[in-house]
Amino acid sequence: MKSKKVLIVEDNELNRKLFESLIGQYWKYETATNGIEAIEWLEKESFDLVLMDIQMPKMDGISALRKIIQLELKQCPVIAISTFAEESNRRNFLELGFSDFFTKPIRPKQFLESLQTYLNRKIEKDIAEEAPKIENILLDFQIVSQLMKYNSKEKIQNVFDDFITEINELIEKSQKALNAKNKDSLTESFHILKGNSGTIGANSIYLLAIELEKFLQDADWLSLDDTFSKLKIEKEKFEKYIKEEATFEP
Amino acid sequence: MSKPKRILVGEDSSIIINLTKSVLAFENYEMKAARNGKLVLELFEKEDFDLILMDLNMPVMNGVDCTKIIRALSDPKKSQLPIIAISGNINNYTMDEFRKIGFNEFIQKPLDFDVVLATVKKYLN
Repeated sequence: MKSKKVLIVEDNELNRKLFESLIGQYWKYETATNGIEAIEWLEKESFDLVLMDIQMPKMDGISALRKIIQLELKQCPVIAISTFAEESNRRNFLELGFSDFFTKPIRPKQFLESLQTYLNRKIEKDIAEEAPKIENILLDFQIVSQLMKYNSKEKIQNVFDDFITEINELIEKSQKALNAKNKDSLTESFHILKGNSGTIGANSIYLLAIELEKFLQDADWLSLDDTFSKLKIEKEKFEKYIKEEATFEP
Repeated sequence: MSKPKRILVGEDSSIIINLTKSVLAFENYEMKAARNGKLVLELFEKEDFDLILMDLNMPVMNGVDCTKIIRALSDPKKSQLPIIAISGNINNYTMDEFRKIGFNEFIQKPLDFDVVLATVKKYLN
């Protein structure tokens, strides 16, 4: 019995036909050729999975997902499909709210198996569960080892020292901006903090920066103060760790 | 041997500048950095480059304004250069909007330097 239903959003006819023939073997499906059509479908009917191409005319996949979340139409996993290394990487797609990211060209067997895992799961799932999993640790050695591919040990050490100098400046600046409730200044500082901590793998600081951005957006000053205090503590821990414990060996 | 390709990086964080420099040196690309859009334009006027990596959020002049000015230059060798946006804030722009501004491509922060290198190579090879 075909009980589950998939929404295929893809503008390229060849790809669409391929997805339809693969998915049609096991599940019901509907098709949209751009983000606008996808939203129309989601307004009318409920689906168990959405397969979303990223580059499409009229409305691209990222804008479509944003709109779907905004309209509270996201009731099932939305999976991004895009070409390899295009525009961005997997982690970024997850951050945007996609549940997964498939690269084109797809391998039919793998593709169907991945879809199956999603469709066999319970549908009434907490959306938070789908949030990207960034491990809450001081330093992500997976990211550091990736940086070590291109950088010498000394260089990495310098980068971390720079990061600490910069975060000290940012904290000082943000404290003043917090006191003055200067939203623009805070937006800029948190943005820099988020980008740089994420790039070097300072995960716990990165996660706090994401929270700070969110609270700032909601103008939740109470939570901002609270999270900012946590950031200062985390910064101390990080600084101590870099100075006393961390060794960067390839 | 051919001349190394030259890349101009508009970025205000020394962390990203340093890391990017090492990554680009890996492929023998030459890199120069400018810390805001205005300095990017000044450097771009004096020297020739093959590609620009442009952070969106910079003081004095941001990457969007800077890119718009470059795209409007009269010298096609300069105005049509590949420009790749680097940003942590994808929510501000969709990919369509990035393209309309004049960016060829967009790389999201936090940076994955494998992606940075692959993207740059795609335009320079």
